[in-house]
Amino acid sequence: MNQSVAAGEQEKHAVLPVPTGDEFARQEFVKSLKYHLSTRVAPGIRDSYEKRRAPEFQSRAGRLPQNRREVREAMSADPYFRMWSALERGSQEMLWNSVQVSIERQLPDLVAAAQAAAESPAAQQLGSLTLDPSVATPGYVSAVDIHLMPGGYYTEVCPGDVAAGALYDRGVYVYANGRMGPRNADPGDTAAAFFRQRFPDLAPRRVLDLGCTVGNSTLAWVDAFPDAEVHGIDTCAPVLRYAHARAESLGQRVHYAQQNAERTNFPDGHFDVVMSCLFVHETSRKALSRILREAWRLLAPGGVMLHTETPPYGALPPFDAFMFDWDTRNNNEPFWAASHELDPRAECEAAGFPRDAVFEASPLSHYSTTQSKPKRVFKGGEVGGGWRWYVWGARKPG
Amino acid sequence: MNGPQLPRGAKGDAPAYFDDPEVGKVLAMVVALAGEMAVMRDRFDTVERLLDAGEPVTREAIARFSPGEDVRTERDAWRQQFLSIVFRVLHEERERLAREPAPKYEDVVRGVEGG
Ligand SMILES: C[S@@+](CC[C@H](N)C(=O)[O-])C[C@H]1O[C@@H](n2cnc3c(N)ncnc32)[C@H](O)[C@@H]1O
Repeated sequence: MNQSVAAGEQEKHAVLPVPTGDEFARQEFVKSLKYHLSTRVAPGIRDSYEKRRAPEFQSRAGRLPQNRREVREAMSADPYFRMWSALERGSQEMLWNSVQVSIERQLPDLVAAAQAAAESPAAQQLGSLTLDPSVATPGYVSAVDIHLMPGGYYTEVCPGDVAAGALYDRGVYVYANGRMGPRNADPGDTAAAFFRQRFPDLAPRRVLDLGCTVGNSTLAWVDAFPDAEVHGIDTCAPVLRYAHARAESLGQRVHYAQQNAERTNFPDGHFDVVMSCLFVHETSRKALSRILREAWRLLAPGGVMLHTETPPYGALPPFDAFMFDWDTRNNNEPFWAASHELDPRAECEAAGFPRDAVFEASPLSHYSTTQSKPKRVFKGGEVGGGWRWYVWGARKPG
Repeated sequence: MNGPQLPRGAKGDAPAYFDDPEVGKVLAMVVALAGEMAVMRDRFDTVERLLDAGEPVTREAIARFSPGEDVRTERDAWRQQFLSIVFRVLHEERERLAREPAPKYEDVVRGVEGG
Protein backbone atom coordinates (compact mmCIF):
# COMPACT_ATOMS: atom_id res chain seq x y z
CA MET A 1 0.00 0.00 0.00
CA ASN A 2 1.17 3.48 -0.82
CA GLN A 3 2.14 5.25 2.38
CA SER A 4 1.85 8.71 0.88
CA VAL A 5 -1.95 8.54 0.86
CA ALA A 6 -3.47 10.82 3.49
CA ALA A 7 -5.53 9.14 6.20
CA GLY A 8 -9.08 8.47 5.12
CA GLU A 9 -8.50 9.45 1.51
CA GLN A 10 -8.73 7.51 -1.70
CA GLU A 11 -5.45 7.10 -3.53
CA LYS A 12 -5.24 9.46 -6.52
CA HIS A 13 -4.33 8.34 -10.02
CA ALA A 14 -4.68 9.57 -13.60
CA VAL A 15 -8.37 8.68 -14.04
CA LEU A 16 -9.80 9.13 -10.55
CA PRO A 17 -12.45 11.87 -10.70
CA VAL A 18 -11.42 14.56 -8.23
CA PRO A 19 -14.38 16.37 -6.62
CA THR A 20 -14.67 20.11 -6.10
CA GLY A 21 -15.49 21.35 -2.60
CA ASP A 22 -19.26 21.15 -3.20
CA GLU A 23 -19.09 17.79 -4.96
CA PHE A 24 -17.06 16.38 -2.11
CA ALA A 25 -19.57 17.76 0.40
CA ARG A 26 -22.40 16.02 -1.45
CA GLN A 27 -20.52 12.70 -1.32
CA GLU A 28 -19.75 13.24 2.35
CA PHE A 29 -23.42 13.84 3.04
CA VAL A 30 -24.30 10.48 1.52
CA LYS A 31 -21.61 8.83 3.62
CA SER A 32 -22.98 10.46 6.77
CA LEU A 33 -26.56 9.62 5.83
CA LYS A 34 -25.67 5.95 5.39
CA TYR A 35 -23.86 5.95 8.71
CA HIS A 36 -26.80 7.61 10.45
CA LEU A 37 -29.26 5.15 8.96
CA SER A 38 -27.23 2.13 9.98
CA THR A 39 -26.34 3.25 13.50
CA ARG A 40 -29.35 5.35 14.54
CA VAL A 41 -32.32 4.17 12.50
CA ALA A 42 -31.74 0.51 11.63
CA PRO A 43 -31.44 -0.67 15.26
CA GLY A 44 -35.15 0.02 15.73
CA ILE A 45 -36.03 -2.62 13.12
CA ARG A 46 -35.10 -5.45 15.44
CA ASP A 47 -37.26 -4.00 18.21
CA SER A 48 -40.17 -3.63 15.86
CA TYR A 49 -39.70 -7.23 14.78
CA GLU A 50 -39.27 -8.80 18.19
CA LYS A 51 -41.92 -6.77 19.96
CA ARG A 52 -44.59 -6.37 17.31
CA ARG A 53 -44.28 -8.42 14.14
CA ALA A 54 -42.92 -11.68 15.52
CA PRO A 55 -45.68 -11.91 18.17
CA GLU A 56 -48.27 -11.07 15.50
CA PHE A 57 -46.90 -13.82 13.27
CA GLN A 58 -46.93 -16.15 16.22
CA SER A 59 -50.55 -15.53 17.02
CA ARG A 60 -51.43 -16.22 13.39
CA ALA A 61 -49.19 -19.21 12.76
CA GLY A 62 -48.86 -20.64 16.23
CA ARG A 63 -45.09 -20.35 16.09
CA LEU A 64 -42.36 -17.80 15.46
CA PRO A 65 -40.90 -17.24 11.98
CA GLN A 66 -38.37 -19.98 11.30
CA ASN A 67 -36.46 -18.61 8.34
CA ARG A 68 -35.76 -15.35 6.51
CA ARG A 69 -38.72 -15.80 4.17
CA GLU A 70 -41.11 -15.97 7.09
CA VAL A 71 -39.44 -12.98 8.72
CA ARG A 72 -39.92 -11.10 5.46
CA GLU A 73 -43.57 -12.06 5.42
CA ALA A 74 -43.92 -10.82 9.00
CA MET A 75 -42.07 -7.56 8.28
CA SER A 76 -43.31 -6.63 4.83
CA ALA A 77 -45.97 -4.22 6.11
CA ASP A 78 -44.03 -2.91 9.12
CA PRO A 79 -44.00 0.89 8.78
CA TYR A 80 -40.70 1.38 10.59
CA PHE A 81 -38.95 -1.17 8.36
CA ARG A 82 -40.50 0.33 5.26
CA MET A 83 -39.38 3.83 6.20
CA TRP A 84 -35.81 2.66 6.80
CA SER A 85 -35.86 0.70 3.52
CA ALA A 86 -37.05 3.73 1.56
CA LEU A 87 -34.34 5.89 3.13
CA GLU A 88 -31.65 3.26 2.62
CA ARG A 89 -32.57 2.83 -1.01
CA GLY A 90 -32.69 6.60 -1.43
CA SER A 91 -29.19 6.90 0.03
CA GLN A 92 -27.97 4.40 -2.55
CA GLU A 93 -29.49 6.42 -5.38
CA MET A 94 -28.00 9.62 -3.99
CA LEU A 95 -24.61 7.94 -3.68
CA TRP A 96 -24.25 7.29 -7.40
CA ASN A 97 -25.75 10.64 -8.36
CA SER A 98 -23.32 12.50 -6.11
CA VAL A 99 -20.41 10.91 -7.96
CA GLN A 100 -21.93 11.30 -11.43
CA VAL A 101 -22.04 15.10 -11.22
CA SER A 102 -18.34 15.14 -10.55
CA ILE A 103 -17.59 12.69 -13.38
CA GLU A 104 -19.61 14.59 -15.98
CA ARG A 105 -17.59 17.72 -15.30
CA GLN A 106 -14.30 15.86 -15.87
CA LEU A 107 -15.28 13.20 -18.40
CA PRO A 108 -13.45 14.55 -21.47
CA ASP A 109 -10.22 14.71 -19.46
CA LEU A 110 -10.69 11.24 -18.01
CA VAL A 111 -11.40 9.79 -21.46
CA ALA A 112 -8.31 11.51 -22.85
CA ALA A 113 -6.14 10.19 -20.02
CA ALA A 114 -7.37 6.64 -20.60
CA GLN A 115 -6.85 6.97 -24.34
CA ALA A 116 -3.31 8.19 -23.82
CA ALA A 117 -2.55 5.19 -21.64
CA ALA A 118 -4.08 2.74 -24.13
CA GLU A 119 -2.43 4.28 -27.18
CA SER A 120 1.05 4.71 -25.81
CA PRO A 121 3.59 2.38 -27.47
CA ALA A 122 3.37 -1.17 -26.14
CA ALA A 123 6.98 -1.01 -25.00
CA GLN A 124 6.13 1.92 -22.73
CA GLN A 125 3.17 0.23 -21.10
CA LEU A 126 3.59 -1.92 -18.05
CA GLY A 127 0.59 -4.09 -18.86
CA SER A 128 -1.90 -4.09 -21.71
CA LEU A 129 -5.51 -3.58 -22.73
CA THR A 130 -7.23 -5.87 -25.23
CA LEU A 131 -10.80 -4.93 -26.13
CA ASP A 132 -13.04 -7.17 -28.18
CA PRO A 133 -16.32 -5.55 -29.24
CA SER A 134 -17.71 -8.96 -30.19
CA VAL A 135 -17.94 -9.90 -26.49
CA ALA A 136 -21.60 -9.47 -25.55
CA THR A 137 -22.77 -8.18 -22.19
CA PRO A 138 -24.38 -11.15 -20.40
CA GLY A 139 -28.09 -10.80 -19.66
CA TYR A 140 -27.52 -10.99 -15.91
CA VAL A 141 -25.17 -7.98 -16.13
CA SER A 142 -27.64 -5.76 -17.95
CA ALA A 143 -31.14 -7.00 -16.96
CA VAL A 144 -31.16 -4.48 -14.11
CA ASP A 145 -28.53 -1.95 -13.05
CA ILE A 146 -26.78 -3.86 -10.28
CA HIS A 147 -26.64 -2.22 -6.84
CA LEU A 148 -28.60 0.66 -8.41
CA MET A 149 -25.58 2.03 -10.26
CA PRO A 150 -27.22 3.92 -13.13
CA GLY A 151 -26.06 2.57 -16.48
CA GLY A 152 -24.37 -0.41 -14.82
CA TYR A 153 -20.91 -1.47 -15.95
CA TYR A 154 -21.84 -1.59 -19.60
CA THR A 155 -23.26 1.81 -20.64
CA GLU A 156 -21.13 4.03 -22.87
CA VAL A 157 -22.05 7.67 -23.37
CA CYS A 158 -19.16 8.66 -25.66
CA PRO A 159 -16.37 7.01 -27.67
CA GLY A 160 -13.66 5.62 -25.40
CA ASP A 161 -15.96 6.10 -22.38
CA VAL A 162 -14.62 5.35 -18.89
CA ALA A 163 -17.46 6.84 -16.83
CA ALA A 164 -18.75 3.49 -15.54
CA GLY A 165 -15.27 2.73 -14.20
CA ALA A 166 -14.94 6.12 -12.55
CA LEU A 167 -18.41 5.75 -11.05
CA TYR A 168 -17.59 2.35 -9.60
CA ASP A 169 -14.17 3.37 -8.29
CA ARG A 170 -15.30 6.51 -6.50
CA GLY A 171 -18.78 5.20 -5.64
CA VAL A 172 -17.47 2.09 -3.92
CA TYR A 173 -15.05 4.19 -1.90
CA VAL A 174 -17.85 6.45 -0.66
CA TYR A 175 -20.16 3.45 -0.11
CA ALA A 176 -17.59 1.62 1.99
CA ASN A 177 -16.68 4.80 3.80
CA GLY A 178 -13.05 4.09 3.00
CA ARG A 179 -13.17 0.82 4.91
CA MET A 180 -11.83 -1.14 1.96
CA GLY A 181 -8.66 0.93 1.96
CA PRO A 182 -7.33 3.74 -0.27
CA ARG A 183 -7.59 1.44 -3.33
CA ASN A 184 -10.76 -0.44 -2.36
CA ALA A 185 -8.44 -3.44 -2.32
CA ASP A 186 -9.56 -5.12 0.88
CA PRO A 187 -11.30 -8.18 -0.59
CA GLY A 188 -8.31 -8.82 -2.87
CA ASP A 189 -5.77 -8.20 -0.11
CA THR A 190 -7.65 -10.51 2.24
CA ALA A 191 -7.89 -13.24 -0.41
CA ALA A 192 -4.21 -12.98 -1.30
CA ALA A 193 -3.19 -13.15 2.38
CA PHE A 194 -5.45 -16.16 2.86
CA PHE A 195 -3.98 -17.84 -0.21
CA ARG A 196 -0.41 -17.32 0.99
CA GLN A 197 -1.21 -18.82 4.35
CA ARG A 198 -3.20 -21.73 2.99
CA PHE A 199 -0.90 -22.62 0.07
CA PRO A 200 2.59 -21.59 1.19
CA ASP A 201 4.17 -23.93 -1.35
CA LEU A 202 2.57 -22.19 -4.33
CA ALA A 203 4.33 -19.28 -6.04
CA PRO A 204 1.88 -18.45 -8.82
CA ARG A 205 3.36 -17.68 -12.22
CA ARG A 206 0.06 -16.55 -13.73
CA VAL A 207 -3.03 -15.22 -11.99
CA LEU A 208 -6.44 -14.53 -13.55
CA ASP A 209 -9.04 -12.22 -11.98
CA LEU A 210 -12.59 -12.89 -13.20
CA GLY A 211 -14.97 -9.91 -13.39
CA CYS A 212 -12.18 -7.52 -12.46
CA THR A 213 -14.12 -4.25 -13.08
CA VAL A 214 -11.62 -1.44 -12.34
CA GLY A 215 -9.00 -3.79 -10.89
CA ASN A 216 -9.52 -3.15 -7.18
CA SER A 217 -8.65 -6.74 -6.33
CA THR A 218 -6.41 -7.37 -9.32
CA LEU A 219 -3.90 -4.85 -8.02
CA ALA A 220 -3.90 -6.55 -4.62
CA TRP A 221 -2.58 -9.70 -6.28
CA VAL A 222 0.06 -7.73 -8.20
CA ASP A 223 1.24 -6.39 -4.85
CA ALA A 224 1.16 -9.80 -3.19
CA PHE A 225 2.93 -11.63 -6.03
CA PRO A 226 5.17 -9.16 -7.87
CA ASP A 227 6.72 -11.89 -9.98
CA ALA A 228 3.43 -13.24 -11.27
CA GLU A 229 1.88 -12.28 -14.60
CA VAL A 230 -1.53 -10.95 -13.60
CA HIS A 231 -4.54 -10.85 -15.92
CA GLY A 232 -7.98 -9.35 -15.40
CA ILE A 233 -11.04 -9.99 -17.55
CA ASP A 234 -14.45 -8.39 -17.71
CA THR A 235 -17.18 -8.23 -20.34
CA CYS A 236 -17.54 -4.43 -20.10
CA ALA A 237 -15.23 -2.13 -22.04
CA PRO A 238 -15.77 1.12 -20.05
CA VAL A 239 -14.55 -0.40 -16.79
CA LEU A 240 -11.61 -2.11 -18.52
CA ARG A 241 -10.37 1.10 -20.16
CA TYR A 242 -10.49 2.71 -16.76
CA ALA A 243 -8.80 -0.27 -15.07
CA HIS A 244 -5.92 -0.19 -17.52
CA ALA A 245 -5.30 3.56 -17.21
CA ARG A 246 -5.55 3.28 -13.43
CA ALA A 247 -3.05 0.43 -13.19
CA GLU A 248 -0.58 2.14 -15.51
CA SER A 249 -0.84 5.34 -13.53
CA LEU A 250 -0.27 3.48 -10.26
CA GLY A 251 2.74 1.72 -11.75
CA GLN A 252 1.16 -1.75 -11.64
CA ARG A 253 1.54 -4.34 -14.39
CA VAL A 254 -1.77 -5.96 -15.37
CA HIS A 255 -3.04 -7.42 -18.63
CA TYR A 256 -6.69 -6.53 -19.04
CA ALA A 257 -8.90 -8.15 -21.65
CA GLN A 258 -12.55 -8.01 -22.61
CA GLN A 259 -13.63 -11.61 -22.22
CA ASN A 260 -16.49 -13.61 -20.79
CA ALA A 261 -15.49 -15.72 -17.77
CA GLU A 262 -17.90 -18.43 -18.92
CA ARG A 263 -15.68 -19.10 -21.93
CA THR A 264 -12.32 -17.39 -22.24
CA ASN A 265 -9.74 -17.74 -25.00
CA PHE A 266 -6.80 -18.63 -22.77
CA PRO A 267 -5.25 -22.06 -23.35
CA ASP A 268 -5.87 -25.06 -21.04
CA GLY A 269 -3.82 -25.08 -17.85
CA HIS A 270 -2.61 -21.51 -18.35
CA PHE A 271 -3.02 -20.23 -14.76
CA ASP A 272 -1.88 -21.18 -11.28
CA VAL A 273 -4.60 -19.05 -9.73
CA VAL A 274 -8.07 -18.25 -11.03
CA MET A 275 -9.81 -15.97 -8.59
CA SER A 276 -12.64 -13.50 -8.28
CA CYS A 277 -13.82 -10.93 -5.76
CA LEU A 278 -17.44 -9.85 -5.29
CA PHE A 279 -18.11 -11.41 -8.67
CA VAL A 280 -20.05 -14.62 -8.03
CA HIS A 281 -23.08 -12.82 -6.58
CA GLU A 282 -23.42 -10.77 -9.76
CA THR A 283 -23.63 -13.75 -12.09
CA SER A 284 -26.40 -16.35 -12.37
CA ARG A 285 -27.04 -19.97 -11.47
CA LYS A 286 -26.36 -21.22 -15.00
CA ALA A 287 -23.44 -18.91 -15.65
CA LEU A 288 -21.74 -19.89 -12.40
CA SER A 289 -21.65 -23.58 -13.36
CA ARG A 290 -20.00 -22.65 -16.64
CA ILE A 291 -17.56 -20.28 -14.92
CA LEU A 292 -16.44 -22.98 -12.47
CA ARG A 293 -15.93 -25.48 -15.29
CA GLU A 294 -13.94 -22.88 -17.19
CA ALA A 295 -11.79 -22.24 -14.12
CA TRP A 296 -11.09 -25.98 -13.92
CA ARG A 297 -10.01 -25.95 -17.57
CA LEU A 298 -7.77 -22.90 -17.12
CA LEU A 299 -5.94 -24.17 -14.04
CA ALA A 300 -2.58 -25.87 -14.27
CA PRO A 301 -2.24 -29.04 -12.18
CA GLY A 302 -1.87 -27.93 -8.55
CA GLY A 303 -3.47 -24.57 -9.32
CA VAL A 304 -6.09 -22.95 -7.13
CA MET A 305 -9.49 -21.41 -7.81
CA LEU A 306 -10.81 -19.04 -5.17
CA HIS A 307 -13.78 -16.72 -4.88
CA THR A 308 -14.23 -13.98 -2.30
CA GLU A 309 -17.67 -12.80 -1.21
CA THR A 310 -19.54 -11.57 1.84
CA PRO A 311 -20.36 -14.39 4.29
CA PRO A 312 -23.17 -16.83 3.45
CA TYR A 313 -26.47 -16.82 5.33
CA GLY A 314 -25.79 -20.34 6.57
CA ALA A 315 -25.69 -20.09 10.32
CA LEU A 316 -27.38 -16.69 10.69
CA PRO A 317 -30.51 -16.47 12.86
CA PRO A 318 -33.63 -15.83 10.72
CA PHE A 319 -33.89 -12.11 11.50
CA ASP A 320 -30.23 -11.44 10.67
CA ALA A 321 -30.49 -13.44 7.45
CA PHE A 322 -33.56 -11.38 6.55
CA MET A 323 -31.68 -8.10 7.07
CA PHE A 324 -28.65 -9.37 5.21
CA ASP A 325 -30.93 -10.34 2.36
CA TRP A 326 -32.24 -6.77 1.98
CA ASP A 327 -30.08 -6.17 -1.10
CA THR A 328 -31.76 -8.91 -3.10
CA ARG A 329 -35.01 -7.01 -3.43
CA ASN A 330 -34.05 -3.46 -2.61
CA ASN A 331 -30.65 -2.90 -4.16
CA ASN A 332 -30.94 -4.60 -7.55
CA GLU A 333 -28.89 -7.63 -6.56
CA PRO A 334 -31.04 -10.40 -8.04
CA PHE A 335 -28.54 -13.24 -7.42
CA TRP A 336 -27.62 -12.06 -3.90
CA ALA A 337 -29.85 -14.47 -1.98
CA ALA A 338 -29.22 -17.57 -4.06
CA SER A 339 -25.47 -16.92 -4.26
CA HIS A 340 -25.30 -16.69 -0.48
CA GLU A 341 -26.81 -20.14 -0.14
CA LEU A 342 -24.50 -22.05 -2.46
CA ASP A 343 -22.85 -25.27 -1.41
CA PRO A 344 -19.19 -24.88 -2.41
CA ARG A 345 -18.58 -28.63 -2.24
CA ALA A 346 -21.36 -29.49 -4.66
CA GLU A 347 -20.47 -26.58 -6.96
CA CYS A 348 -16.79 -27.44 -7.21
CA GLU A 349 -17.41 -31.14 -7.58
CA ALA A 350 -19.80 -30.54 -10.46
CA ALA A 351 -17.06 -28.52 -12.17
CA GLY A 352 -14.55 -31.37 -11.94
CA PHE A 353 -12.71 -30.72 -8.67
CA PRO A 354 -12.42 -33.61 -6.23
CA ARG A 355 -14.62 -33.08 -3.19
CA ASP A 356 -11.73 -33.20 -0.75
CA ALA A 357 -9.91 -30.43 -2.65
CA VAL A 358 -12.62 -27.92 -1.76
CA PHE A 359 -12.08 -25.31 0.95
CA GLU A 360 -14.03 -22.50 2.54
CA ALA A 361 -12.97 -19.98 5.15
CA SER A 362 -13.98 -16.66 6.68
CA PRO A 363 -10.77 -14.68 6.97
CA LEU A 364 -10.80 -11.41 8.88
CA SER A 365 -10.66 -8.38 6.66
CA HIS A 366 -7.05 -7.51 5.95
CA TYR A 367 -7.70 -3.79 6.17
CA SER A 368 -9.75 -3.92 9.35
CA THR A 369 -6.99 -5.84 11.10
CA THR A 370 -4.08 -3.78 9.82
CA GLN A 371 -5.30 -0.23 9.28
CA SER A 372 -8.65 1.03 10.36
CA LYS A 373 -10.34 1.54 13.66
CA PRO A 374 -13.31 -0.77 13.14
CA LYS A 375 -15.93 1.69 14.33
CA ARG A 376 -17.96 2.15 11.19
CA VAL A 377 -20.74 0.05 9.85
CA PHE A 378 -21.83 -0.39 6.24
CA LYS A 379 -25.52 -0.75 6.83
CA GLY A 380 -28.19 -2.17 9.06
CA GLY A 381 -27.81 -5.63 7.64
CA GLU A 382 -24.26 -6.04 8.78
CA VAL A 383 -24.03 -8.59 11.54
CA GLY A 384 -21.65 -10.55 13.66
CA GLY A 385 -19.47 -7.82 15.14
CA GLY A 386 -16.28 -8.82 13.37
CA TRP A 387 -15.86 -7.93 9.78
CA ARG A 388 -14.99 -10.94 7.70
CA TRP A 389 -14.95 -11.97 4.09
CA TYR A 390 -15.86 -15.41 2.85
CA VAL A 391 -13.45 -17.32 0.65
CA TRP A 392 -14.28 -20.56 -1.09
CA GLY A 393 -12.73 -22.61 -3.85
CA ALA A 394 -10.73 -25.71 -4.66
CA ARG A 395 -7.30 -26.87 -5.69
CA LYS A 396 -6.80 -28.88 -8.83
CA PRO A 397 -4.81 -32.04 -8.04
CA GLY A 398 -1.13 -31.72 -8.97
CA MET B 1 -23.06 21.30 -18.74
CA ASN B 2 -22.35 20.60 -22.40
CA GLY B 3 -20.47 17.28 -22.22
CA PRO B 4 -22.16 13.88 -22.31
CA GLN B 5 -24.78 13.20 -19.62
CA LEU B 6 -24.84 9.99 -17.62
CA PRO B 7 -28.13 8.16 -17.08
CA ARG B 8 -29.43 9.18 -13.63
CA GLY B 9 -31.91 6.42 -12.84
CA ALA B 10 -31.01 2.75 -12.43
CA LYS B 11 -32.74 0.19 -14.63
CA GLY B 12 -35.08 -2.07 -12.63
CA ASP B 13 -38.40 -1.61 -10.85
CA ALA B 14 -38.37 0.12 -7.47
CA PRO B 15 -40.20 -1.65 -4.64
CA ALA B 16 -43.31 0.08 -3.27
CA TYR B 17 -42.48 1.13 0.28
CA PHE B 18 -45.59 3.16 1.01
CA ASP B 19 -49.26 2.50 0.37
CA ASP B 20 -49.38 5.91 -1.25
CA PRO B 21 -46.43 6.19 -3.67
CA GLU B 22 -46.51 9.98 -3.37
CA VAL B 23 -45.15 9.61 0.17
CA GLY B 24 -41.97 8.09 -1.23
CA LYS B 25 -41.55 10.98 -3.63
CA VAL B 26 -41.94 13.57 -0.89
CA LEU B 27 -39.47 11.66 1.29
CA ALA B 28 -36.91 11.67 -1.52
CA MET B 29 -37.33 15.42 -1.96
CA VAL B 30 -36.92 16.08 1.76
CA VAL B 31 -33.71 14.07 1.98
CA ALA B 32 -32.36 15.70 -1.19
CA LEU B 33 -32.99 19.11 0.36
CA ALA B 34 -31.28 18.06 3.57
CA GLY B 35 -28.31 17.00 1.46
CA GLU B 36 -28.12 20.32 -0.33
CA MET B 37 -28.33 22.12 2.98
CA ALA B 38 -25.38 20.11 4.27
CA VAL B 39 -23.47 21.06 1.11
CA MET B 40 -24.18 24.74 1.77
CA ARG B 41 -23.09 24.37 5.36
CA ASP B 42 -19.77 22.76 4.38
CA ARG B 43 -19.25 25.54 1.87
CA PHE B 44 -19.86 28.15 4.53
CA ASP B 45 -17.47 26.32 6.82
CA THR B 46 -14.86 26.50 4.06
CA VAL B 47 -15.33 30.25 3.75
CA GLU B 48 -14.91 30.69 7.50
CA ARG B 49 -11.76 28.63 7.53
CA LEU B 50 -10.26 30.59 4.64
CA LEU B 51 -11.08 33.81 6.50
CA ASP B 52 -9.58 32.48 9.74
CA ALA B 53 -6.42 31.61 7.88
CA GLY B 54 -6.32 35.08 6.32
CA GLU B 55 -6.46 33.58 2.84
CA PRO B 56 -8.27 35.16 -0.10
CA VAL B 57 -11.87 33.98 -0.34
CA THR B 58 -12.41 33.37 -4.04
CA ARG B 59 -14.70 30.93 -5.82
CA GLU B 60 -11.60 29.16 -7.00
CA ALA B 61 -10.23 28.81 -3.46
CA ILE B 62 -13.59 27.49 -2.22
CA ALA B 63 -13.85 24.95 -5.03
CA ARG B 64 -10.28 23.79 -4.48
CA PHE B 65 -10.46 23.60 -0.67
CA SER B 66 -9.75 20.02 0.35
CA PRO B 67 -10.52 19.43 4.02
CA GLY B 68 -7.92 17.56 6.05
CA GLU B 69 -8.72 14.81 8.51
CA ASP B 70 -9.51 17.14 11.43
CA VAL B 71 -11.90 19.24 9.40
CA ARG B 72 -13.59 16.13 8.01
CA THR B 73 -14.06 14.77 11.51
CA GLU B 74 -15.64 18.01 12.68
CA ARG B 75 -17.94 18.07 9.69
CA ASP B 76 -18.88 14.42 10.23
CA ALA B 77 -19.94 15.28 13.78
CA TRP B 78 -21.97 18.26 12.58
CA ARG B 79 -23.77 16.13 10.00
CA GLN B 80 -24.72 13.51 12.59
CA GLN B 81 -26.24 16.23 14.74
CA PHE B 82 -28.00 17.71 11.75
CA LEU B 83 -29.41 14.32 10.74
CA SER B 84 -30.62 13.73 14.29
CA ILE B 85 -32.68 16.90 13.92
CA VAL B 86 -33.97 15.94 10.47
CA PHE B 87 -34.94 12.42 11.56
CA ARG B 88 -36.20 13.38 15.03
CA VAL B 89 -39.60 11.74 14.50
CA LEU B 90 -37.93 8.43 13.59
CA HIS B 91 -35.67 8.55 16.62
CA GLU B 92 -38.65 9.14 18.87
CA GLU B 93 -40.36 6.14 17.34
CA ARG B 94 -37.23 4.04 17.79
CA GLU B 95 -37.03 5.06 21.44
CA ARG B 96 -40.68 4.15 21.97
CA LEU B 97 -40.02 0.77 20.39
CA ALA B 98 -37.02 0.24 22.62
CA ARG B 99 -39.18 0.91 25.71
CA GLU B 100 -41.96 -1.47 24.65
CA PRO B 101 -41.94 -4.67 26.71
CA ALA B 102 -40.60 -7.72 24.93
CA PRO B 103 -42.87 -10.77 24.73
CA LYS B 104 -42.75 -13.03 27.78
CA TYR B 105 -40.00 -15.61 27.63
CA GLU B 106 -42.39 -18.50 28.20
CA ASP B 107 -44.43 -17.38 25.20
CA VAL B 108 -41.30 -17.44 23.09
CA VAL B 109 -40.46 -20.96 24.23
CA ARG B 110 -43.98 -22.08 23.41
CA GLY B 111 -43.71 -20.42 20.03
CA VAL B 112 -40.43 -22.07 19.18
CA GLU B 113 -41.76 -25.42 20.28
CA GLY B 114 -44.75 -24.91 18.03
CA GLY B 115 -47.24 -25.06 20.95
C1 LIG C 1 -19.00 -6.29 -8.45
S1 LIG C 1 -18.06 -6.28 -9.89
C2 LIG C 1 -16.52 -7.02 -9.36
C3 LIG C 1 -15.66 -6.15 -8.52
C4 LIG C 1 -14.18 -6.40 -8.60
N1 LIG C 1 -13.81 -7.78 -8.76
C5 LIG C 1 -13.54 -5.82 -7.36
O1 LIG C 1 -12.95 -6.57 -6.59
O2 LIG C 1 -13.65 -4.63 -7.16
C6 LIG C 1 -18.68 -7.54 -11.01
C7 LIG C 1 -18.04 -7.46 -12.39
O3 LIG C 1 -18.19 -8.70 -13.05
C8 LIG C 1 -18.36 -8.45 -14.43
N2 LIG C 1 -18.94 -9.66 -15.02
C9 LIG C 1 -20.15 -10.18 -14.78
N3 LIG C 1 -20.31 -11.34 -15.47
C10 LIG C 1 -19.15 -11.55 -16.15
C11 LIG C 1 -18.69 -12.58 -17.00
N4 LIG C 1 -19.46 -13.63 -17.32
N5 LIG C 1 -17.45 -12.49 -17.50
C12 LIG C 1 -16.65 -11.44 -17.18
N6 LIG C 1 -17.03 -10.44 -16.38
C13 LIG C 1 -18.27 -10.48 -15.87
C14 LIG C 1 -19.22 -7.22 -14.46
O4 LIG C 1 -19.12 -6.57 -15.72
C15 LIG C 1 -18.63 -6.41 -13.30
O5 LIG C 1 -17.63 -5.56 -13.76
